[in-house]
Amino acid sequence: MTDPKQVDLERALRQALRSIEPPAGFEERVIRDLDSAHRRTKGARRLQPLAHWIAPLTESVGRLLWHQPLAALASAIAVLVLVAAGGLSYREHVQAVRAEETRGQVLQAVRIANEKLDTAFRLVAEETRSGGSAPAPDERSDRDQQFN
Amino acid sequence: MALMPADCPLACPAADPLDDGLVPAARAGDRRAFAALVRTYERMVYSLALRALGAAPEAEELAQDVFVQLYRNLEHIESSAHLASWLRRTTFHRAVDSLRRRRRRPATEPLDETAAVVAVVDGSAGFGDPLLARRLVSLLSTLAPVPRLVLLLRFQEDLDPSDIARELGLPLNTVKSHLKRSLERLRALYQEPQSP
Repeated sequence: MTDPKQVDLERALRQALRSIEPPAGFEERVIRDLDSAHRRTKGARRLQPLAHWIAPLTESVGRLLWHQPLAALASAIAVLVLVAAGGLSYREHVQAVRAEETRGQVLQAVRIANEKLDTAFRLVAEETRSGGSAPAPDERSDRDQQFN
Repeated sequence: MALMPADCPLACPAADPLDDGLVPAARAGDRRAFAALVRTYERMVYSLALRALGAAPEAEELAQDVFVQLYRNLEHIESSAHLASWLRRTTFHRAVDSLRRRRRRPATEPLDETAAVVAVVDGSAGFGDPLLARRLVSLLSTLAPVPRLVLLLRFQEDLDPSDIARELGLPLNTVKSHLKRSLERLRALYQEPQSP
């Protein structure tokens, strides 16, 4: 080998670093890669509308976290408070709807009871007017039906 | 610096791919035109990748990725000089990323960098002292990723420091300093007596 002290390093490097032919079939493999990459891209394109919205959002969140961690923390707390407030308000809404339904059912029950009481009073009044005689079996069953 | 055949007889394209209409045709989806582009620049991209990474399969994978990326970016290519510069810059960044990942990753099996480099140098025999060339190329793997790539652009692609700085977006003084320190280191390592 050449004496190390005599070497013109720059010239030696130029000679050593000659360009090299890639292995045979390189070009075909690139084209094959291109075809498979193209197929993958077509698949990914279906998700593109979603990615179009998500990517900038995650990017800006990442930037905020990196550059202004305090602001990011404050934003996270604000989001948590909003979510908690939303949850509470939704629970109250559900409870109010249920209370309204229960009230409606109670009113319905009262109305039905009221009608039945009216019928009972009417029957008692008719009974009293007719002088306390017991009704005929057919008549009684008609009245019972009416009451029920 | 535009790459002209007279400046780099081995690595450079024989004709201007833009003048030949290869880039517009490839842009329009013509696979044969793109294959011709790959043929024109494959030596340059593969050589850079191989010298940077030291391992032939990894270098081939990286070079293929660079060309796939080129296909997706053909609409941004304005001239043949721009095309060569784009390819060098992309290869540089991908090789640096790859070398950094390799450093972080615990090696499961040792990379036989020297063996790959020796095979490469033997393949290009006939240029100067082959033993010296083999030693220098294997010493390249001792340099950090960025200085190694800067040295390759200087001595393999024959770019001026100002061209390297412009292509890579680095300050000129940084490029000069990388070159100076890398040459000093290579010289020092080369002059050390080799272990048997």
